[in-house]
Amino acid sequence: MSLLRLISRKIANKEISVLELAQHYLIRAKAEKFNIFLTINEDELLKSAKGIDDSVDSQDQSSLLRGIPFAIKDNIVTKGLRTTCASKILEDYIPPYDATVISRLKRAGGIVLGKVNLDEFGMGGSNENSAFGATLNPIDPTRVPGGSSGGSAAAVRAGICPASLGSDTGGSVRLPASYTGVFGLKPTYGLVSRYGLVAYASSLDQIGPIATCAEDAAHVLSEIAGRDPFDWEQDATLSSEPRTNYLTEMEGVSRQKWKIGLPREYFVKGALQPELAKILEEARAALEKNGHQFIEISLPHTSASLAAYYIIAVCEASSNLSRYDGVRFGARASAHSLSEMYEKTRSLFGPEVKRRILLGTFALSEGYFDAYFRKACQVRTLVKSDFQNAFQSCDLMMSAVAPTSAYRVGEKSSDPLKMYLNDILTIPANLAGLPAASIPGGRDASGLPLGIQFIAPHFQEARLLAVGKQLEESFYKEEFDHGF
Amino acid sequence: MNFISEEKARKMASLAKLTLAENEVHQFAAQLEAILDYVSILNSVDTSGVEPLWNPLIETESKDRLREDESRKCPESILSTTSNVQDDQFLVPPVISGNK
Repeated sequence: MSLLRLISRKIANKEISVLELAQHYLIRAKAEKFNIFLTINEDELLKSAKGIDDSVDSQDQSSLLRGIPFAIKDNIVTKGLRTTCASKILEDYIPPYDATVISRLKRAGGIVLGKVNLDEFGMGGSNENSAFGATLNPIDPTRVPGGSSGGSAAAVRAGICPASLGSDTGGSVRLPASYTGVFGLKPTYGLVSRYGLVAYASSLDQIGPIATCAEDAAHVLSEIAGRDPFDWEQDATLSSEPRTNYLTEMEGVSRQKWKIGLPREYFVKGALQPELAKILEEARAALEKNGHQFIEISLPHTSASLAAYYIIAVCEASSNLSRYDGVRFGARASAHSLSEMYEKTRSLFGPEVKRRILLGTFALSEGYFDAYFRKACQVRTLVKSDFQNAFQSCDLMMSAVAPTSAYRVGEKSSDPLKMYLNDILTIPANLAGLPAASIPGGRDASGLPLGIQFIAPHFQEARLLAVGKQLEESFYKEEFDHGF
Repeated sequence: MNFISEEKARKMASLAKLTLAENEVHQFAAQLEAILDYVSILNSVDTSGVEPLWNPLIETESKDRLREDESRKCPESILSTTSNVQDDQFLVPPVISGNK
């Protein structure tokens, strides 16, 4: 039984009240030693929990999310609750509105447990780029949890909340999910409203659920995905996909037999940690036993996609982060002139953020736009059509999420390029706008988790969820300690 | 190849309204140089006749997505995110300081 289903049943049977559940997770949140939480929403959490218990239909668990505390990545705005983006420039920022995903969770009876740590503005792959200290991997605190949704993944891994929300621009849900051994999904671009997600790269960002298993991710996705009337007035990049029950969808495709493509460019000999390569082979065998077939496919523009990403993302970021100028919100440095105020205020950005803004400014500047940004967007067209061509002959793709398990804190932080190269397997799905998930595949000899990535065609999240469930049932399932 | 001289890094910082300390200028110029060197792989891709993809969702190309600009009074909630407010406007230091 999934964790959310288990908890929901206990609430319905009066074994535990919503308030007791909230207190249970609150204690864990306050005691955690991994630098996961930036802000704990104690008062509101307990008040909302009690409100649900006291309400007339307090045993109505028709929504499984009712009474469930969520950790929310701190780049998703929460009304009245500090939202920092792990940046000094927003250290005291209190948003005046809730992100659409937050309104959706609340409408389903979910409660915000607190805001969790990330790489500043989503820029990073290790959660070391936070202005408030690195988050540590609960499995081995000398190692990174991955990023930039490291806090969201670590919170679920450490049993501090049943599910969380992260965001994924170049792998930032999938990578920490892989490094901490949880299920993490990046939806199709445009499936989940970005209203209230602090923008990093507007054509790449997506909010995604992180949970202990595929089924729970399906429950969360059902609430946050799809379009309510007028949602597109707040996010014009939202697709017209309607609200869907992903549990029904996932069950609906569970008997299908798929052709699963293995992109040869993702399986370069010697590039993957040996135990990871072995896990992929064994997962393949398990899925073949389930009746699926594997074929080799090619995504020829893979080697150029990392370069395209690191132009497109930084260009969009340099534009998006120009709003942090001290005028209307966030920190403001005292200064004698407007220009000085801008410069002193913006010196509060961390080094990775500055680096990306500088790179983006350069690539968009006079004389360079065509050579860099436009060129990268042309390569993006080719990356997307690589996938479209390949999906003519397969229904899903399988690969690793990252070349290795979690590395040690500080190991890559002095070399930005080395850090960027770690994203090579996750980035193409963001460029093409495709849904992709990281599914726990096992542990290496050091006990560190290794995730398996699946990529599906646009709006086929159900296949990702279904294959995740199949692997849990017939291949490998992670254990969690949530106190139930 | 020399993509980013220190002078260029300073110019970009100025355009982006970022202050860089001297040691940062040197460090960033070198790091940016390495990244741009890596990114030059894009030059080896034949993109003749390829339309750029600005956003992966085709629907966003539709002009129906846009509405007319509306002029409204600034909501209280927006004005409350800073204390530097007067008469429904955001206060800032002089645009041109005495020295410039």
